[in-house]
Amino acid sequence: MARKPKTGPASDPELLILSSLASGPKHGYAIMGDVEAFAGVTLGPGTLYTAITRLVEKKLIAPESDSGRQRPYRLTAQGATDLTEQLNAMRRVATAGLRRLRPA
Amino acid sequence: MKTRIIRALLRLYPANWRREYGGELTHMLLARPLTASIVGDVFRNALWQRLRAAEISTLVGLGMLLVMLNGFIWNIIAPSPYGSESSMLLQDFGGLNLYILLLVGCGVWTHLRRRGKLDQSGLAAVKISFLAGIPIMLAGALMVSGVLGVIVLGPGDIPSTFHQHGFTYTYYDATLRSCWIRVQDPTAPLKAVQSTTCPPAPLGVLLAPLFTLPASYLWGMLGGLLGRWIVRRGRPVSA
Repeated sequence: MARKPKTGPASDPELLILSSLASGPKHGYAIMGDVEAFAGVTLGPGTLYTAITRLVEKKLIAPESDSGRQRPYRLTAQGATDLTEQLNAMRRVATAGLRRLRPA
Repeated sequence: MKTRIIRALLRLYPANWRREYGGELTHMLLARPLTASIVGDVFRNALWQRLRAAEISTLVGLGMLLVMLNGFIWNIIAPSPYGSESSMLLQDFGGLNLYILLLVGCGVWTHLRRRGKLDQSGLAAVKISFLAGIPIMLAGALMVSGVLGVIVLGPGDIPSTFHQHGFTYTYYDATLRSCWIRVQDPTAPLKAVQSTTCPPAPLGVLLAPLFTLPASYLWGMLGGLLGRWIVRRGRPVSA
């Protein structure tokens, strides 16, 4: 099993939430479970909603129409662009870093 | 019990935030076991949301409160030598140039943010002044209750330390003053005696920060006027 990231961009709650919503709208509880499953990071409820608040303010995600007490959130077009840029930047750094780590 | 804890935690968030996300967070907390780490996580994030929602005057005021509290604690543990800046900070914080600039700056900022009446700038400065004065009022309250003693230092005197005198508040006084004191015989009339050890009246220390509030209001208003001038200068002249 891969080691869980404790710091760095792979543990950034905003990036993790955006990545989770890339597969479709989810409510808070589903995001938390999904992030735990694909990244091995457990987001606390307070951390999750602080990150959701920031993402909504930045218009990177938006709440869907009310459906009971748990509102689903979806990725906006701006959010999808932002996520793509962040992941591409991470891939460039990861590729370069891994290449340099490889013995000559 | 769990519901009560969740309700208390939710109350730590700003009202606007609670209206938007409170229901969802409550639902999530009810569905999980409420461990210490979850309580800590919610508590920390609630404080963060409070800070994000706070007015600039509240943040500056809290910053000043911490600076003054730091000065107050060091005054008891290891008093600074006579004439140092930290002794002035506690005794005349309302008259320090940097502090006045802070009040005026906050007045400018408040006007630029709200574009409202000038009294909003004045009230923002009053808020800073009140928060900054809390450690002084605390010192006064401790003096009134007898927990804290007072030692008066004149130029050249060596500061006393906590280890020598217990809980003592050091007060710095540049002048020899006449004190009205009763000497030996309690029935004798009061006499004026030259003394370097006239401690400040505890009630005076307790109330002193409140007397700085009107001046702070005026400094804030001045900042508001400056803000108004900046806004007018920035506006294009209509034909």
